[in-house]
Amino acid sequence: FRPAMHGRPRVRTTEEQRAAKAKERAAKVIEYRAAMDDAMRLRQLCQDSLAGLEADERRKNREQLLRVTQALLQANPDIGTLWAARRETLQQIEQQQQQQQQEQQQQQEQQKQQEQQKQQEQQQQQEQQQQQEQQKQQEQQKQQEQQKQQQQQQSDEAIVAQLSNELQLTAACLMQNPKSYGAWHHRAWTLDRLGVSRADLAGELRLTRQFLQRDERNFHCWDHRRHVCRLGGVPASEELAFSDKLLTANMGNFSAWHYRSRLLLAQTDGGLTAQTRKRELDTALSAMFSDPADTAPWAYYRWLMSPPSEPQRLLWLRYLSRNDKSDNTDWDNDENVSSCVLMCLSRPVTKAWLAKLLDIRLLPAGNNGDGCRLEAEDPVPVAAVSGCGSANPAAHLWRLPIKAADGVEVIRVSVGADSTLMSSTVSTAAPGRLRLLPSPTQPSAVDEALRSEQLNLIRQLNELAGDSRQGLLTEAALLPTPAEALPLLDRLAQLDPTRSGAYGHARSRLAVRARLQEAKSEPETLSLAGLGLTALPLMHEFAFVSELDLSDNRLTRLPGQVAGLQLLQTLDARRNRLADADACRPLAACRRLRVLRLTGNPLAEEAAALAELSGQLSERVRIELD
Amino acid sequence: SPSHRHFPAGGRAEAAAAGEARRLPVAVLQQPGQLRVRHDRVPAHVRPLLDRQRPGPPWPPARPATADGRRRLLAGLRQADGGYGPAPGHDSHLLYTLSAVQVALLFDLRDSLDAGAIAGFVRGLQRPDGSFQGDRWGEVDTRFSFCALAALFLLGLGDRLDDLVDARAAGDFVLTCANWDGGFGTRPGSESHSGQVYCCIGALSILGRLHELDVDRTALWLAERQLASGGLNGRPEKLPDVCYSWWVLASLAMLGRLSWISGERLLRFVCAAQDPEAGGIADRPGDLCDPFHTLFGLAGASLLRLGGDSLKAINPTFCLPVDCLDRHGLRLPLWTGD
Repeated sequence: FRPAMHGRPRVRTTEEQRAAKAKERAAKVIEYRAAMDDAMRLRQLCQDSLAGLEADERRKNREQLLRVTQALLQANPDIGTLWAARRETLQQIEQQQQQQQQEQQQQQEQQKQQEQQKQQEQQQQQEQQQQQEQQKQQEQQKQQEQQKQQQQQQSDEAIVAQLSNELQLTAACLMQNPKSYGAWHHRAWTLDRLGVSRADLAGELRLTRQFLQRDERNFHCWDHRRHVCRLGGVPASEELAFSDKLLTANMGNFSAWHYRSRLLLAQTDGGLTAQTRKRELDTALSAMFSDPADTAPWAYYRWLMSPPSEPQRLLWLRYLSRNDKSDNTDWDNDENVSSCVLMCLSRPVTKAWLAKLLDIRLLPAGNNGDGCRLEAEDPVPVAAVSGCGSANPAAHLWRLPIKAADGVEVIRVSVGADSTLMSSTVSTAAPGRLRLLPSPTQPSAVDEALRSEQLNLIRQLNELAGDSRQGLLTEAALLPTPAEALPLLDRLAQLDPTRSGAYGHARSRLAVRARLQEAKSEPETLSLAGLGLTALPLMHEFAFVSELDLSDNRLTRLPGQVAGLQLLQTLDARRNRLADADACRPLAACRRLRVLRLTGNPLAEEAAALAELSGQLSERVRIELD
Repeated sequence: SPSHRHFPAGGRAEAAAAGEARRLPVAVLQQPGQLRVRHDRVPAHVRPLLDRQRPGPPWPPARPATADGRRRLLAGLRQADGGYGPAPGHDSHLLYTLSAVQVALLFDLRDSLDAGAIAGFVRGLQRPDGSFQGDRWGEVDTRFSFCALAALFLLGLGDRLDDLVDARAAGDFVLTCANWDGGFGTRPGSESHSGQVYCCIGALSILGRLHELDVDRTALWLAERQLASGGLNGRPEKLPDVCYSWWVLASLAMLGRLSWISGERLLRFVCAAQDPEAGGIADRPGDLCDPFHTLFGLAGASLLRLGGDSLKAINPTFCLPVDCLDRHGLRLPLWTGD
């Protein structure tokens, strides 16, 4: 990744020094070019070696190629082409030796056959000597087997000797350039070629240990160690012990903590047992208590305490009918679509994924059965979050067109087989047109007792150590409700203004989450006023609202996801920091918008900007500036 | 030798006439947070990043390159297997194949590329687990996943990825390189590293699968790269380096969270890393400058949009000017989720 152009201090030089250096460089360039040309020429010769050169000639070319490339690589181990030339050469040597072996075997086979024939003739002539002859045969067979093994071993030894050369060369290169991709890869390639039976894996582990002693963060070396362990089937328990040793020597060794996390995950197939988690927490805590300023164990600790990611679930359904006069909206051009269901999922999905699993059933009035399954219509994404062009958009929100819903009382929407999390019904008649699925009562979090125990410990530590970024982040992560974490995020933003954007976003998310959790009798009217929001996350969760109060916040723009607020009629955005028409651009997609309140925004003072905004929005929108 | 005819008159003209090639600061920090670029002092290798349309003295050409010359250069780098090497006669590799495509786009030489041959080269390097090896010798790295997908996209094959490679497996492999801290490594199990994060986010962006990430967690890991000096490092407890202002910043841009670091402080670090005599930008203040860090310093500064319009808009996935991508009809929408 990082070529050798790093960490070279600028040194003031005189004209003379500069000139001398330039001369030196020029001479080196000439030398280098000559050596490269030589290497390329020899490589070509070796590749064409099938074309009638004497075996001796070929061998000499190969040896020279190996010599020339060795010198070049020791100076610059990042010339991939030269490593490739060496590998080709090794393959050729291997091939040639295998060929020789085969020829020898064939010769032996022939000899054997000839001798067997002879022996058979003799047997026919001298039956008395049969037994003796048989013995002789067996001996000869044994001898041939031995010879074969010897030859195998010899050619094996020859190849192993070549490969050992490669190990020596890469080691020498790495001494000078411990971060050379080319050298590490060639070493790994060589080890693979040697294979488990011939490679000195213990020696290899020792080598990685030495390199890690020089630089415990050398990720090339760590990757190599992982490779060796995989090759040799080294058990995770041994490597955990290795990481233990490193952490005892230096608890700030990020790479060792990381290694630990991957080993544990591999051991337990993705999920830690309670026992393992407790043990690891104790290890991390003792590191944190002995030196709270060291950031590495804190990050590891937060990972240990992080809840598993929540499963995908259906959040809400909202039925919309074209015929209902109160649904005062602009419909799509498709005349046949009489109604639709807006559906919200907790995590974005693509149409391909959804189409396979979506099941919509219409239950007419009085029908208690399974209802009739709707023919699949293309679900339409609303306010996509990502996607390569329009080819594969992913969205939380989907519009499901429904044809012929007359007489239908209930619509059941299911995604996949999980009926608890991913299926629900919505009524075609008000007031049941909005169905909010209850959030799981017990969040699938880490054990409550553990969480509260750990929270106490972290609070103790923070009291001892004083306010720190790691301490505040960790304490915030352990709090049971979003509202409790808000003051901590404020302190974080003060302590660490560099990342105030990040904390503002996190704080906004928690504040919105807290507001959403408060029970509401009228969910379609939502107030997010006065929360100090710098961002507007989780919009999909309330995209069914008709009235939204965003006043007295710190929004500089309305994010793209605002386009998902398909039912929004009134937006109060007073006293924010909206500066221009562009900041409100996503509102153009809110087809039901009728009232927009903007007093107290910089935008409200700019006649030109207001005009531009008016132009962007439908003429049915009234911009209020009282 | 450089032609000095176009340098402004005065002392410099004399020095220039004396045959001395004096190179002067390219960009000066005019006020805190404001980068001003002196177009008359821009070295050749960064010109494509800058706005050619700006009025001002024409470029003082060093050795004027021609379209033909560039074509020949590209042809000399092409190997029989359809891939490109780093220099004439050198073996092909995914890294340099992507570079060749980027150079061809910058200089409008797309017709010198054989898209089919490159696609074949790329496809041949994908392994059953979805990963890509850099060349036939088998080194696997998420950098190569990015190079493969970016090369195909830049050739205009972005909507045919599923036909050309196993796009699903490619994305799945990248996701297995995600770590608990939100970062990504070289291979599954490798430690998080900013450069690899850039490659993985870039790959997922091209595949339209960013929504499968915990975006906030990755963005926080990236935001934590900023140090007191304003510079960004590659991973925890490492030194800041100007090239990371690209890898980290571009990743944040792809995730829609550029505001999560302090742009002003970063810009100050980048400007401090400029060598005022040579004009280029180094890895950190006080070091020797080079084209690599000059490119990434400027590209990062461009993403910050703090230089007014003295720097062209850069696409964060491909490190190419937006107008270059527009010219070739290439569009990749960014993350618009919360």
